[in-house]
This record gives sequence, structure tokens and C-alpha cells, in this order.
Amino acid sequence: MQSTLSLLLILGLVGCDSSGFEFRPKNTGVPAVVDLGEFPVVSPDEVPGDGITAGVLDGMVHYGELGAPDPGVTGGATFTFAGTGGPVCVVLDPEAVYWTKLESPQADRTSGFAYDDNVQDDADVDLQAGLSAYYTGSPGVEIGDFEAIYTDQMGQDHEIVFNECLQTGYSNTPNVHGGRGTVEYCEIDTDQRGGVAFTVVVKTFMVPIDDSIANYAVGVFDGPCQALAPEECFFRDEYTLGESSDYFSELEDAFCGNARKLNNYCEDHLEDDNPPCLDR
Amino acid sequence: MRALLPLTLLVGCFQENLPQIDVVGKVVLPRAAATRSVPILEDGQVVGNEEVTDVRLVGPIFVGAYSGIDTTSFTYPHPAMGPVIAGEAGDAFPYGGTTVGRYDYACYESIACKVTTGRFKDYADIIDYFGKVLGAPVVDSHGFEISSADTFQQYCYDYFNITSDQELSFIGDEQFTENADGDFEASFQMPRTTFKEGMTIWGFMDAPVVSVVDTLNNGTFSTCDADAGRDYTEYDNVVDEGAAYDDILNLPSGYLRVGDWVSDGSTTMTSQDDQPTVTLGVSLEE
Repeated sequence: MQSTLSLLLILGLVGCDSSGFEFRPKNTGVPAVVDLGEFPVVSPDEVPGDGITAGVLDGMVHYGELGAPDPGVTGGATFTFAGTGGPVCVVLDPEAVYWTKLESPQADRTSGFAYDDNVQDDADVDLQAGLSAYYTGSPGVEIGDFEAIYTDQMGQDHEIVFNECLQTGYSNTPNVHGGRGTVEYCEIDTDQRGGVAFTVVVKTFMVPIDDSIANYAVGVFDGPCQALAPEECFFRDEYTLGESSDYFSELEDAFCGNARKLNNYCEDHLEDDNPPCLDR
Repeated sequence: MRALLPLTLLVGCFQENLPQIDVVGKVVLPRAAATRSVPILEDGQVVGNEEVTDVRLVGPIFVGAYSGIDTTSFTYPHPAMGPVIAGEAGDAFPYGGTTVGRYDYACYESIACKVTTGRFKDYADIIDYFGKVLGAPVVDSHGFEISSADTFQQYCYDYFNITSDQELSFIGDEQFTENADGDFEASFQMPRTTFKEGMTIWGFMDAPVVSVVDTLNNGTFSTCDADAGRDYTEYDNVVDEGAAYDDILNLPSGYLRVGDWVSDGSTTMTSQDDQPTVTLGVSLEE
């Protein structure tokens, strides 16, 4: 009886044409752990109104790429900046754009999304930041975090997270991260810590399925995030170094326009070999 | 079947030896904490004030178990804190916590974040408290004053799709009883609290805002987030029901205001069987 059941289960698997190996990241030779040195804090006056494109703030913001880390190893990039004595806003945008048909269109869009995003080209990198003194990683060698153990006066251990890059989600859910292709940002108050070194960690959560290289753009801006209002189109061209960037420029232009423009673009490219959008 | 027999014999004999216990105790609130100067109203206008003692003026009481008490960082006894990070007060890392009374949405948005469970007997009690004691009457979504308990009840039944008052938490038995000293007492249970011998049980009462000049904000609490809780939408009636902030016992100093009452921190537990009494005897003054 048991043998028959087992056989039935095995037979039930016939027809699965996926081994799962195609989802394994490829070894591209792109480093998985990098250190980017010290960043300047950019004045918001230097940010163009229609978004930052590659090369516009050269040496002030960073366009980079991360390869897939070995299994069991955390990948990512680190850099430092000096506190200004006031609030600064750290902005990170992984490639490229993400949307679903189910989400409400943004206020300035003229209708809903008609097609789904091809998620295989998207990266997901997460943002953390805090005082460099609390950072546990080795820049360029090993990605760490900002966690430590505090023992109270009764001898009870408590985990403390010194990460100051706190993002809130829907319904004020604390300490969240954006998903694939979605911009992340947080405000860090450097009051009374002017000149003190802060470390920012761009932690690899997922490299794109299609090329295994996570492209991103990141920068530190003076002042509160509210004044900067970062969103998906704040950084443009964040895929510039990627191998499969042939359609990203047009896709991002369409996405940063309105839903109708994106729908038209998607419709024109549904039959492409590597389509930017899917009709499901 | 044979394997099941020994397991059956183990029923009642299994001790997990978990470090967590359910702490059962009592809070004592001085009579003065339920005594406030409230406005006297005539035709909706404030014409004076009077001192009343009313247990409905007792807000939610937050009770936590802590490693110790810090008597130097604030003007009142505060739980011992962990490191200060980014200029914020340190986390007090409670071992467990509970409340005596909690925020509950009492059907009308005008009293969202203002109603604590265990304080009101019935609908009329709520109408009386907000209208006559606080001078900030219950109003519906159109701004019309609710003066009938039947109207209140019917609206609640429609709002929550219920058929019985038993289904509502904000009316029913009152939690506090008056003791021989004229103070008010209520029991509490702090479930699944990590027990450390010598740990301190500390708590505070969030007192409602009561102004005898401008009654608009009377009844509000600093520990309630008006934007949190369930979002309710029915046609053009969009409601945020409100809920307590989620870090009150971790960062109590961020919520304590003048008029609130805290315990002196002298209540400790040396045995898992202790039944602590927490007296909120310290008033926060200007």
C-alpha cells in the first residue's frame, strides 16, 4: 500500500519541467563584497529636479554592482560618511523598477497598470546605517551588522540593534525594507555627531535571476528626507553597469511617465525575447 | 495504541521548566489620581470648575517587569535603561508587561483613543462622562451630539454587526474597587513574563487630558496613536479606530506627562509565587 502511494506521488511529479537550477545565481566574477570608501554628503541643491542620472553627480553618488555571494555568505557594499551635525538622508535604489497590476497607481498616473513587471531583472538590496564604531563587519571582506548584546543589572541578555536607518512600512510597521527593484531611504540624525564616521551597508538580499548582478545607485544627502522626497525615479540609470540593460532605459522612462505610457511600452515589447513586462 | 499509553500516563506530570511565569498582582491607585478639576458647563459653555472623584477619570495603567529602577535620569522613578542610542532614552527591556484597561473603539470616532475598558458600565455612562464630566460630548460622524443610550447602542450594533452588548469590551463590569482607605484597586495578570529573582514591577497610569478652559481635547491620552488600529471604511465614513503605541513599556519616558501617576519602583519579586502590589503613588507635576 505504502509503495503504491509513493509511486503515485512520484508519478504526480511527472510534468514538472523545472529543476530549479535556473534560479541559482551564476558566478559572474563581479565581487560580492566591496567597500566604497568615504562618501561626501551631497547638498540637495545639486539634485536635478527630474532625477539623478549616471554621471551627473560623479564622485558624489555611486552607481555600482554586486555579484552573487557564495552560499552561506552575506554579500553587499559598505561606505562611510561623516556626520554633518544635522539630519542626512541616505537613498538607495536597486535595479530597476517594480510594479504589479494589483497595486493602486500613483496619484499622478492616469490609469491602472495593464501588465505585470518581469521580476527576473530586478535586484533587492537592503539599507542599514549606523555609527561606524558599532559596525561589526570588515569593510571589503565581510558584511556585518550593528547588533550587540546588552546585559542588564539582573544578568539578562538583550540584543540591541544600533542600526539607525529605520524605515517604516504600511500601517507604520517598524523596521521594514523595500522589496525587489524598490527604492529605500532613511533619515539619520547626526546631531552632536558632526564629523563622526557613520557606516552605510547595502546588503544583498537578492541578485536578479536573469544576470546575477545586482546594480544599484546610492548616495547621502544633506537635510531631512521629507525635503528630498525620494521615490523610484529619484535615481535614474541604476542599471547602467548591468549586462541586460538593453531595455531598462526605455522601461524606466515609461515607468517614470505615467501608467498609460508604461502600458503602451509594455504592449509594444511583449513579444521580445527578453520582455520587460508580462501579460498574465 | 501501545505507544499512546505511556504518553497518557504523563499527563499532569510534565514540567517544562520555562523561565517564564504568569505574574498575578494588584495595582493600587491613590484616590487623588481619580480626582480631577473638571469644567462646569451651562449651555455648552464653561462657567466654572469643580473637583470630582470619578473612576472613569482613570486611564489605562501600564505595568511591566524590569531589571531595576533608575532614580537619577528623570524627576520620577523610571525603569533602568539600556544604552542611549542616537540621543533617545534607552530601552528599558521589560521582561513582560500588561495593562489594567486597554483602549477600545467605542463606535464613534469622536471618542476614539479616549475610551478605556473596565471604566464604563453602559452606554449612558459613556455619554455622561464625556458630556457632563469632560465637556466634550460624544458626536457622530456628522457632528451631531449623541445623547441617547439607545441611539448609541443601535449605532454600535450596526458598526460592529453584533446583536448583544456582551460582545463589546468597553462596557460591562468595572475593574476598580474602592478599598478601606478610599483608594482604588484592580487586579492584573502579566502573562509569560521572564522571571528574574529580585526583578522590579513598575507601572504608570496615563491620565486623560482634562482642561477647564478649552474642553476640545479633553479625554485624550498620550499613549494612544490615533492613526493606528483598524481602518474602517463605509462609503464616505472613513475611521481610524486608534490603538496604543507599541513601545510604551520599552520607552515609558516618551509617554509620561504631567498629571500621570507612576509607582515608586519599590515592588520587587523574589519568588515566582509572589503576588506583587504596585502602588502608583508618585504624581508627575510641573
